Order: sequence, then structure tokens, then C-alpha cells
Amino acid sequence: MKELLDRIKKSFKIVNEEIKRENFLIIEVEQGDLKQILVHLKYNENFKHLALLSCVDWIEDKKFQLTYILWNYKTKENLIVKTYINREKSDHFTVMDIFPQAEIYEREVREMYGVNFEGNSTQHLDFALEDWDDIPPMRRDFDTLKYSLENYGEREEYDRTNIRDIISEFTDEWRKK
Amino acid sequence: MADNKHFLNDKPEKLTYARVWEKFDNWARANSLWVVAYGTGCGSIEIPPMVTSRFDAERFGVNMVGTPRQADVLIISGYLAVKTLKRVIRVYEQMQSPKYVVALGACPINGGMYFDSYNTINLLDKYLPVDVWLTGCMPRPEAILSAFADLMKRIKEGRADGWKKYIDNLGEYRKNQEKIIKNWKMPNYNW
Amino acid sequence: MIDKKDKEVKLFIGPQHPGVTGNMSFEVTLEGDTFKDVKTHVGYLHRAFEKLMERRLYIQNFPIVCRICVPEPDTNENLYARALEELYGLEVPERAKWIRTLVLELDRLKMLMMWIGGIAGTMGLGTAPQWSVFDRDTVLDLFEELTGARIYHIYVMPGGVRRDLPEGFEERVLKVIDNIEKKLPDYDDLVFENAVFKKRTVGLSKIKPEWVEEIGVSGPVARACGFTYDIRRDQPYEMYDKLEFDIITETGCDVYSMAKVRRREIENSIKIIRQIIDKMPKGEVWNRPPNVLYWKIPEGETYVKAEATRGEMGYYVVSDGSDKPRRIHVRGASTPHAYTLLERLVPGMNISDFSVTIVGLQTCPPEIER
Repeated sequence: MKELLDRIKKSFKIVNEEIKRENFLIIEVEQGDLKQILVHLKYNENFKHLALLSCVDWIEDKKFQLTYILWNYKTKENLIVKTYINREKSDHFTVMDIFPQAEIYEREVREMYGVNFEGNSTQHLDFALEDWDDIPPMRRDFDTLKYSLENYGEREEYDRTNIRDIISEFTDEWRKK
Repeated sequence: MADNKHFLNDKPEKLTYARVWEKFDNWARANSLWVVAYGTGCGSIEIPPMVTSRFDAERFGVNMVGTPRQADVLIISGYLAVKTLKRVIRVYEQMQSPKYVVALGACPINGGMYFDSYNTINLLDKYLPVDVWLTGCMPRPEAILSAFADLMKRIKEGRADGWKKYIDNLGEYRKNQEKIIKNWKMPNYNW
Repeated sequence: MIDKKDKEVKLFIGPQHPGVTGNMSFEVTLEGDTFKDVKTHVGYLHRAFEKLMERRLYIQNFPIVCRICVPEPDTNENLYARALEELYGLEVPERAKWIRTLVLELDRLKMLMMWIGGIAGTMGLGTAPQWSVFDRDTVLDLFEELTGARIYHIYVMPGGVRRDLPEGFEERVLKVIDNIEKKLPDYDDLVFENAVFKKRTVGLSKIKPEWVEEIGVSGPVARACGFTYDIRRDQPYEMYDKLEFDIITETGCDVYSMAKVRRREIENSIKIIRQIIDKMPKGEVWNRPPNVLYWKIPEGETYVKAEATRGEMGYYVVSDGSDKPRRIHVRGASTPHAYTLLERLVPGMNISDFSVTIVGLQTCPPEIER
């Protein structure tokens, strides 16, 4: 993996890197360089398989992290490319022309987080929710317990207490170990 | 919808031959229950073992059919997402009376382990009338067969009347359903 | 003068249908009896797992993780436990790794038995589900003795497995496997060498080999086109680097080749289980983590993957130093199959072959939408 990292560093700017296992590399890039790095990795370095496109919400830093997980069939190496985008105005571009299966992953990220992928013509269709009119549900400021109790109700004789209080009544010796 | 027609079973004074005929009707209905083949949630992984050769359910007269127009029983196996609830109500209203609903698992009773999810309902009783509840996660095939035996006993005694409750209180059920299902384009009939 | 557009009919092959695997629907456009295009709709089983997992402690997520893919729960537990061990740095004793491999292979065997019943049922062959669901039940009896429950086991824990094998367990496993192996020639006569089965599946929905690397197809569907992609050989996990097994490929690229690949995988699994029972050493089985109610995992992210029966299944876990996870994303194997691959296979197909294609690709809707 060290040679791969040196080859990428010659042509592109990398903000951060980490080698985890012997065949696992994580690199962080800027949002503007992302498309050129993906094209270079697919056609010159043989990373042809996009396994996953995911999004993480860092609400304390007001950022979204987009993660692209790639796999090389020939040399059997994993590679994660990640980038940070703004949380208030989350605009990004699509990679559908490089990897065709990214169309579905982008549809899901748009429904769950509200990120806009420019160039993807089917991203506004419903993926898993129907007639949803609240904020995108996977964001950290959406309270799901409150939504469920307001809309769907509960039986009157049900008692919800904290699990730690119940278990620590019985297993105090285990806690001291 | 102006006059709600029930069968002869609820008139307080009955003729003798009507009572005998009603007993024969209930016996015939209880011994040949047909189930709609619709796996709505995770509990439907225990339905194939129930209807195949190990825990044979056909000796009780239970059979799986493809369309709701020919069926008597609807099994709600587990949780219900809001998108599925709309289709389940439509399937329930296409079945002919008398019809019965069996609820499996802990999720229809009070939400189960998905009590804080924004997409699953917590109480099934508000939207559909239920005849038999069965707890467990998942209930074993022998437990589902015992639920069917309980249902058959209730039919023979004349106590399984969820479908009558639905016709009588249709306004209340519709109010609860329309609160969570937006874009409601359902036909006006319900039988 | 009839316009071409007037001949088209839109139809919903909907959620309540005996020929669709699970609860998903397809909006199709037909002209006569042949398809023109298809649109997949999922969302009928969406429980918002990933949002629920962010509200609970790490150890409270194990009952949730089981229920992501209902017929095959052990692969999910294994992946989640391996992700936590990698982020925290926990060592697994050797006997626990052998037991985990045994549980994974038994899981694969019971899923393949259920699949034989499914593909025969779409063609109206009613005898095969009666046999194969019974054989699957004998394997579920083994699981009930080992872990206490038939379907959701919660047996694999971070740091090992929960308890050791009971006495005499190995003989019972060998007896069940010998029984299944004796019945395989009967299954061949009934299903795989049946003249009607061959006539209906040979040449159906051929996949072009260049689509496999372009779309990200994995599992038996990719191996039916001649590619030797198997995660147990490419990136070995648990004890797979010390076992001998074959990578099974065929060259037909159609539904019949996929059926043959899965039929030969049953024999492969049986061979692996016999080797495991021979070679398993003695020792401890659980290296316990510290008090799990107050367990904090340091910052980091990782991606682990395994070869499920359907293809590549992966978990992407991000932690931020507290006692609840920040983000867990599950990658199911049937997302590229049910959307991108199906749109390319469907034009020109007859309507009575649709169910056979869907069950042959083995799509499982709960893992697409979680």
C-alpha cells in the first residue's frame, strides 16, 4: 500500500492519510479534487468496484462526511476516499458516469440527509419513505422517539425506565469488576 | 353504506331453525380456514415450516391461497411500516365477510423493539380489528397452530366478530387511519 | 389506426404476490406479453435500523443486527462483532474462531435449502419445498440445542462466542450432514436434472460478462459468468485460510448456471464442515470485553466484509469515543442486483419468466432498505 500512496501523492494533493491493515488505506481529499482522483483510480490503478457510498453527520463541526469505499480485483486492496462538505448548503456532484450503481446510493443519501447531487436525474424519486414531509430523518437533530409517540401513541399502562438502572440493581458485583 | 347488514346472528329473538343453521355455519367455517399468502414482516419466516410436512397445518383445514377474494384469515406477522399498512387495509377490505385477523409477535401489541422508530406503527388495534393475539419473537410453528385452534374455538362459540366491529365503527377506524396515511385515495366501500 | 403507445399496459407486480421473494413491488410496462421496462419499489419493510442503532449502547445493538436479513442472521452478527473488535483491539481465542466458522457454514447450508424450495415453487413444482423445508428444520434443531432459539441466535459476541459446544454435539452435526448428503441425488432427479426445469431456465436472462465488473455484481451471480470472486479466498477472515475448499464457477451466465453453482455449493459446505470438526482444538471460547454497560470505544472507522450466500455483505462502522455508535451503514448484496442489473435484463422477457429471474438472482428486500 505504501507504493500506491506514493504514486497518488505525486499527482494529487492529499489532506490526511492512514494505513490500517496491510491491505487497507484511508485518504482524505478536498471536494474539488474528488472526481479527478476517482477517474484516475478507476482507469489507471484498477479500482473498479464501488462497494458503498455513505454519509456521516458531524453536527458539532457543522459538516457532512461523504465516504467512497473502493476495491481492486487484481491486487486485492481496499481503499476509502472521504471528503467533507458544508452542512447548511450541501451541494455535491454525481459519480454516476464513472460507477453506474452510484445512482441508487445517491438517491438514498439524498432522502436521508438532504444532500443534492447535481447531474443525477432520478434522485428526487422515493426510495424508502412515502409522502414524507418533515426534515430528512437521519440528521442528528431529528428526534425519533418524540415523533413516534406523537403520531402512533402508546398503551397507557407501559413504563419506560432506563436500562442501566434496572440491570445495576441486580448486578452490582459485576459492575465493580 | 346506509344500512349495515349483518347476518341473522345478532337478532335477539331467533327462530329455532335459524339457530341450528347458524351452528352448522360456524362449524363449517371453523374447519376450513384459508389464509392469504402475504408475508408482511419478519414473522413470516415461520410460515413455510408451518404449512409443509413437519408441522403439517393442512390436517386442520388451513390452506394458503393467492388472492384475498378467496380467503378468510389475514395473518399480520410482526411489525407494520406505514407504507405496508395502506396496502394491508386495502387487502383486508377486499376479503369477503366473515373474516378474521391474527396478530403475531410483540410488535402489534405495543410496538415491540421498534417502539421509537418513525416508520412503524405501535398499536394495531387502532387501525384494524384483531381477533387473536399471540406473543413471542418469533413464535414457534406449534404456537401458531395453537393460535389457530383458539380461533376455531371462538368461531364455534360465535364470539369472533371483529368484522362486525369494523362495519359498525368505520368512522373511528377511518379517522385513525387518515391521521398517519396522507394521500388517501381509497374507495368508499368496505366490504 | 392504433398508435404504438396505445398497446402498452402498466401493471403492478405488487407486494402481495406469491412469486416475489419478500415484500417489494415492481411497476412494469407490458406490450402484449413482453416487458418493456421495470421500476423497483422498496420501502415496505423500512424500520430505520440505522437511526435506532445510534440511540442504543453497543451491546444493545446485537438483537437489532440479527433482524436485518431474516433467513441468514449469523453473518450479520459475525460482521458486527468483528468490526467492534477491530476498532477496540480485542483478541479472539483460536477455538472461538473455529466455532464461528462452523456456525457460518451451517447458516449457509440452511439458506440454500430454503432457496431450493423457493425456485421450485415459482414453477409449480410443489414437492421440492416439502422436502427441503424439512431438511432445513433438522439444521434448526441443532441451532436450538446450541444457542436456545431457532431463528435469532445472538450467539456471536465481541471477543468470541457465548458458550462452548455441548457434549456429543459433533456427532449430531455429522449425522445431520450425512442425512443431507444422502438425499442430494434425489434433489438432482427432482429439480436440477428435470426436463421442464432445464427448458425453462436454460438461456433465460443472460448476463453480459462486462456488466459484472461495471455494476458490482458479486456472489453466485458473478461466479455463474466465469469470474472467480470469493471473499473467503480474496481476503480471508476467521479460519478460512487454513481450510481447503473449491471456488465453483460455471460459464453459462443464465439462471440455470446460477442454480448449478448453488447446488454445488451445498457439497462444498459439507466438505468444509467435516474438516472443521476434524481439526478443532481445545481451549477458551470468550475473551470478555470490559463491563459492557460502560464500554467506550476510541475514535475510528472501518469496513469489514464477508461472503454471504447472496454475495458481498459489508458493515461500515464509525465511532466517536463515546459509548454509542456514531454511524453504522450496512451494505447488502442485492442492492445492485435489484436495481441496476434488473433494468438491463428485463426488456424482451416474457411475463411468466419474471418470477424465475427474481428468485434466481436471490434478492432480499430487507437488506436493501434496512
